[in-house]
Amino acid sequence: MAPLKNDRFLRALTGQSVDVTPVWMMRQAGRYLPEYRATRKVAGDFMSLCQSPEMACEVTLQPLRRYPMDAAILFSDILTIPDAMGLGLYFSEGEGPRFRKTVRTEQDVEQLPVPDIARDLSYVTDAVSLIRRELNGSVPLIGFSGSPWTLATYMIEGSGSKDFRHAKEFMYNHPELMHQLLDKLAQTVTAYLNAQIAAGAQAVQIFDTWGGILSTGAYQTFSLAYMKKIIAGLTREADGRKVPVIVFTKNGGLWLEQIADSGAHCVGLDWTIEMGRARAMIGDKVSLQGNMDPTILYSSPAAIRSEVERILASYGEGNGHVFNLGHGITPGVDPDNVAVFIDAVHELSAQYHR
Amino acid sequence: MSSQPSTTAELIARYGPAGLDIDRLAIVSLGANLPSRFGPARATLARAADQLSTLSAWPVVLSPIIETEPVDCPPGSPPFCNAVAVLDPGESVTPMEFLQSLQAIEADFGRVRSGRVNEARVLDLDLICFGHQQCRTPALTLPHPRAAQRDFVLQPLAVIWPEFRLPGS
Repeated sequence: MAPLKNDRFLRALTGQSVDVTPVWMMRQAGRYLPEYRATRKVAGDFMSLCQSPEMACEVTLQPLRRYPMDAAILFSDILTIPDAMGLGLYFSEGEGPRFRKTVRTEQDVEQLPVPDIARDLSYVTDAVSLIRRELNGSVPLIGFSGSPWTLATYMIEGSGSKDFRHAKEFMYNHPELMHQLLDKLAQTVTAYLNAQIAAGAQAVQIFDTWGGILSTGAYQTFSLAYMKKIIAGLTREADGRKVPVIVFTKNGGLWLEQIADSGAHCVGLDWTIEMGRARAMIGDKVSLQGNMDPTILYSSPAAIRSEVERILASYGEGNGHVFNLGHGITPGVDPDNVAVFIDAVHELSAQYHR
Repeated sequence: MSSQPSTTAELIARYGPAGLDIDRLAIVSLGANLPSRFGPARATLARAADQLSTLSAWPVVLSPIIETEPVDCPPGSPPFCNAVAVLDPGESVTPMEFLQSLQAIEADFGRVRSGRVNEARVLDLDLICFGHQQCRTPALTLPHPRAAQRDFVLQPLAVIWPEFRLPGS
């Protein structure tokens, strides 16, 4: 395997010194890029794009051809796991992800198979190997998975939801069943992330997109506990290097101290919390990733630069910051504004690393 | 950064099963002789190839860069660096839209079109072919009317796509 030329991202995750703050964007291989839209169109549908290692590799690399980002992230979807459990994932135009089957009864949970990653999700690990080879050591590759709670919400609802009525109802009415489901998912996610690491992922991120809809107490019991369990079971080192883990709970700002105790190396932040405040709370334990509001990318280059500067200043001097958006980049952003964003992070952060 | 396919055959072998359509491939010739903000002509072409990848659904096949003495150029023009790129513009792009994207890249690299024929320039992107399409309008002729006479197009193209024949020839 080619030696890593740019390891800023991995160094920052583990609190080591860097010359400038590393930066990448959640959903950086996405619809805002015309070349992504072209490949997506040729692929036919979103799942075909995910399931072809060649195409997944191509769209993973597209943003890196345009911008000097410090990490690549596997192009895939968090819902590959429930799909491999036989729920039948599909994407209807304009409606987001949907499942043909849902999980609503004791029987549904018990009959849910634990997927064999090597058999059912080899398209993901094949993509990881291919991307790692094609990156040729230019930047590290991030693997990822959805959190058990987040996956469970989709499996119970059968789609995205505004109020998560069915998922919460299931949790409150059948807590033991919910734990049984989450346990199955945690085992699968652990094996899934370890398979990605074995295939070449150099860091992993757990996306807890819907942890923030839970009440305090329920979050710790039904979301965080299972992420902890996963982290405890992950491969710690690969190629003689630590494999850092990032946990990102959207709207998790209220529970930062507990997230920082999860065993993760890095805590992902959405834009609702002040970066400096988060650092004061947990910066001695973990590194921080985030947290610019992605909507700022619709504004002017001057506004983007000043927001980058504000967040860098809020974090202050020293190590342990990976710059990112507070959530995924949205489809309508002008690709030129992304260039302004990435360049601003590198240019304006040097003064904080002297 | 990544290992790009070195020939069109390799591109098709890799991405054909995924949906790449050989009948849709576009050929662009790249030329430069003045230095740009990216450095000498050779560096400019490498950066221009990166930009071309933003117009392509798949990796771009880029030929080796060749150096040629200027043809039909004002006296004293520095030698030209030339290359040819093969790419897939995707399903929904028209030749005119694609041409406008090429011109936007030229403009971004600092090219000023003076109207003089074959003047020295920081970057020249010519659309040689767009699939099998043939057309003749004031803005665009396909395939490029002088491609068949240009060694600096045919020679690098033969390296990356020896099987290719210009439509209508």
